[in-house]
Amino acid sequence: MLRAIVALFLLTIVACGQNEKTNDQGTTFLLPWSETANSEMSLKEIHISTLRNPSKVKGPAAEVYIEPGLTDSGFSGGVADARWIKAGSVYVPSDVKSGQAVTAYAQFEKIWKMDKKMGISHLLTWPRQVSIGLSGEIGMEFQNNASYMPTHDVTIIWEYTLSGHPVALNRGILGHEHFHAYFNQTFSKARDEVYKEKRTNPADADLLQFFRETNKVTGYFTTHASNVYLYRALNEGLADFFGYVYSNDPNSFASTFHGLEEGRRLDKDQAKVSSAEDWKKLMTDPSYLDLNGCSRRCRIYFLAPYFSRQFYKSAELQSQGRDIKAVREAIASQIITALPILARQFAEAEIKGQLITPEMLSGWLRVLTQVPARKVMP
Amino acid sequence: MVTRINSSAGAEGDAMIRILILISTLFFVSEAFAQSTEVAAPAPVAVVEEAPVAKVDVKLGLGYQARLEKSPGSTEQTQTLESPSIFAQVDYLEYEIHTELERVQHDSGEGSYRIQSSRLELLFIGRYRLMLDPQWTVFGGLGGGFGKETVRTSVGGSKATHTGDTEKIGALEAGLQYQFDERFFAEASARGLKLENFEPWVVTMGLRLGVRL
Repeated sequence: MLRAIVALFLLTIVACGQNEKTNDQGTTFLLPWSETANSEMSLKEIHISTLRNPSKVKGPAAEVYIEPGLTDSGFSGGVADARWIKAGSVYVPSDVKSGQAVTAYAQFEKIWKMDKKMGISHLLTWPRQVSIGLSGEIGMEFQNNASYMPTHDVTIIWEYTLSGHPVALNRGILGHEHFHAYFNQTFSKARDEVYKEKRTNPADADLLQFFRETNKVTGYFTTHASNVYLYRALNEGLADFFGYVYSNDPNSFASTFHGLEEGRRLDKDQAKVSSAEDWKKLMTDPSYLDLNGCSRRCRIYFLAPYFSRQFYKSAELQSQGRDIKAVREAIASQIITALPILARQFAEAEIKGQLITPEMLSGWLRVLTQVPARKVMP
Repeated sequence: MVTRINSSAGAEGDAMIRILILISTLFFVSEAFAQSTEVAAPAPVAVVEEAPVAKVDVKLGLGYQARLEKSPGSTEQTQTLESPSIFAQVDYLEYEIHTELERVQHDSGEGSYRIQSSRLELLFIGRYRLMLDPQWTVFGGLGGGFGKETVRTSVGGSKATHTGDTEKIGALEAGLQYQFDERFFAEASARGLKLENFEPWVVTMGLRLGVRL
């Protein structure tokens, strides 16, 4: 009798421990996919464990829209209706918009799982709101790119007209935009709180006005404007690092944006802009680095590698004898933990009228990320 | 770049040319058929009048559909696909069985990611016909059928071809038929199709030219 009970118990454990794929009620799609830096993108059967309904592209990781409208409360219209054929147990998209929508969901599912593992997912609202394009004419201005809109907490993937792999298929780019949501929720929020406590407004309180007044590259560049563009460059640099963490590829932009192959890759030694002097020239000399026609908002991307490559090198050094993936994720988690503290330091220096340099900002962040990784309290 | 086939003035012009070619082809084929089957008139004999017997008519023809489908997008946008078809009809009194085979093709692409879709649909529709006058007939129909789609996908150098499981289709139809003479006719109809694997209804507008055998 006892043996029967034990056998039944063991049988139950085995049955309940069946692999996730057969129990999770997810769907398997044929999608363009690449797992590592060295593997070419190819068509693979990808199991999406949290996508229960193959026709409606939504689940706990994301809600994906195709060319929706945009209102004050977010996207309008329903989530994407994917078109597919069923070949055995595999769903095959029958048009590229459906394919991109499902691939974007699959990428965000991977990102969501990594965020949970890193202990940072609780800082954001899930499912993430993602769209492939926007309806109307506005989309035509922003082709071949992706954007995070902090005002609506949405990620938009614009139409792709080049010859490489579309943006919706590129986990490095999606990861980059996804990090901006974390930066907004940690650094930007903490900085705003400091200004509120001190009952004063930052230089970029009215962002549109700020860019109207400061975007053109001239010899006139105030301390306040310099500090604002500097933290935006930090945002972009850290986003590039997170794109690398999510995609395993230090040059993830290359397959989509061929021209950025050298400029933004993380596995190069020296950034072109890496000091206070370089930064000042970048922001005040129109012809510096032959960047005529590139505004200040455009130029912050040339300081971004100064930040991203430091963390890339740090991950490489720390991974000696260790799992590099685990090391990268630990560093990423430390960065998220550090950002609210960094923001307070940054805002207090700004309010005092102090000129913050790239070296200072980098130094503060490196000190803060030496602390052991711990969960960021909401 | 995503490719969509849309109705436009140019597409309608192409449609008119196709219709004219159809009419010419059917005219020459039917004339050749009629000439080859001419026989001498029989000698007059005493004829006993019999009660008229309802006969079964068989018709064949070619068609062209403009198919409006909801696009995968989040707003209520539609995309228009064109599809040629062939059909056969069997009439008995005011009832008709309409059988149609239609082919729908759709190509889309963005960057290195390309998908070509080719779909065959076979429909059987039972119609009820109401003759308004010797030339004009309205009809309504209910039926169903099957569809099968083949998808060719490519991204970079990686390619794959898959043929989907057979999909069931339900159909509702309403239309108008015009009889040119004893042989030739044209009809226009609107159909709503409910596909097994796609939630929103698909609406098609069709134009057909046929000949009675």
